Amino acid sequence: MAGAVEIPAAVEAIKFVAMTPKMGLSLVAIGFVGGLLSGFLGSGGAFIMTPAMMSLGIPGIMAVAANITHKFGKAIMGSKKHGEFGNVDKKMGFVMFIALLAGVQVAVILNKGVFQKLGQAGSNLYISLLFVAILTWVTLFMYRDILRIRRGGSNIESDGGLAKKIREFNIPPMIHFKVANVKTSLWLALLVGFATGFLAGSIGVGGFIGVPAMIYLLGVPTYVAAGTELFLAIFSGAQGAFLYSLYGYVDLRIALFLYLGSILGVYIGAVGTRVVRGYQIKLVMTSVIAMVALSRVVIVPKYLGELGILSLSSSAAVAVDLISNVFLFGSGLLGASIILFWMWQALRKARSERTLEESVAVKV
Amino acid sequence: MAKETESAGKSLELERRQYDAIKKERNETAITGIIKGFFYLSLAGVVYFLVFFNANKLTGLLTAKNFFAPLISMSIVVLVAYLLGTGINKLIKNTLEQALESQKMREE
Repeated sequence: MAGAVEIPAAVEAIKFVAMTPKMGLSLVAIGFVGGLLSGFLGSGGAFIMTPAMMSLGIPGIMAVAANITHKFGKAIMGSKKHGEFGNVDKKMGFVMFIALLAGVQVAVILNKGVFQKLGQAGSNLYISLLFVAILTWVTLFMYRDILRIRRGGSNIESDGGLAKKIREFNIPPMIHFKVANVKTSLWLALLVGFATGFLAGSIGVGGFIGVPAMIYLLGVPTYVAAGTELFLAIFSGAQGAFLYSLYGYVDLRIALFLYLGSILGVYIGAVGTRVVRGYQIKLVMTSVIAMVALSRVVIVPKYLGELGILSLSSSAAVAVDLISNVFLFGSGLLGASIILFWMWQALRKARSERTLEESVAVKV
Repeated sequence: MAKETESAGKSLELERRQYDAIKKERNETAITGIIKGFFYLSLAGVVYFLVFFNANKLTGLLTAKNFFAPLISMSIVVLVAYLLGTGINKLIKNTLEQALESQKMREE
């Protein structure tokens, strides 16, 4: 989830793409995968949707603009659906949003500083390394937690880990979040919001940090973290949609095609959170984050080559790009496939139970 | 003994009727919900038609770089999200969600 939007100073020539049936269908499919991940995990749409649109020939800035504009409406409807299931803690969302904006601003200042000092390649390298470091840590942490739950441990981390120590940070004022059913220090909630905003501003995928941070540091149930993250996305989506529209970068046709897939995906994903266990949501999130981190690891030699630190032939650079994209798009497809598979399994189980019930009723 | 068997049979018959009534009521509600869902989706279809039919005019307005651009795009986006979202929600609620009702889990 991006907390705030910075419009690039360099003006890119706006090229409105020809909307062919193939382009339209591709956008619907991209929207569906992004929507499904957002509905199930609370985040995870943008990281795959923007590059996928760019690979269709849509200019980068217009892909970002269409994505963020469509995210605004998707987050409104997605969080409404999660709200029906009692998955949205609005109070927590508002508290986190204030700190999140500050985090984004700090990240933008830092990113600008790196860009000015090291140039485009240096900035890309900085972002990729940050991406790899943070996402690898989150992956390992969540993977360890999943293993513990599968071995029969409780859903809340009980060993004396760092997360538990941070969770016990009881500096007043303490604040009770009714929906999430947690009482925590206001400062801790603000810290989580700030960290989410900082990551959103630095690497553009704050939700990958926001959701695990809500789960492990604030002790929020997994499905409430997903719903609340989607609620937070309304604000960032509104801000982004406003700014990009003001600068004339929004192609409404792209946003409308994305909606056809993403609204369906976000609802199916939200229903999906009802038929799986919390650790299963964590499992999908971990798999997706790990593959995204891998896609960034693979691309690091290319940036080192651009900085002159490593020599890389042009064919090797192309191969590196390709492998990175395979991991990136593969992460989204893998996540979506797992979600759909579990839902199909639940559906089959429900049908067989109903058939059994009906046959018993008929026999009686 | 015969009386007991008769009363047990009656209560089972009653339960079966109740089961049928609930099933019928659910089906009726589901059908109404699905019709409403299609109604919202057709309204969304009208908005899509208007947007794509007037795409050139809209592009002119959206690239004007004034406050009308966000006003127009955000209004259309919210309207479409609402119509599509409500339509799909009603369809999913009365089909997929109902089918998965028995599989709900909340272990945290």
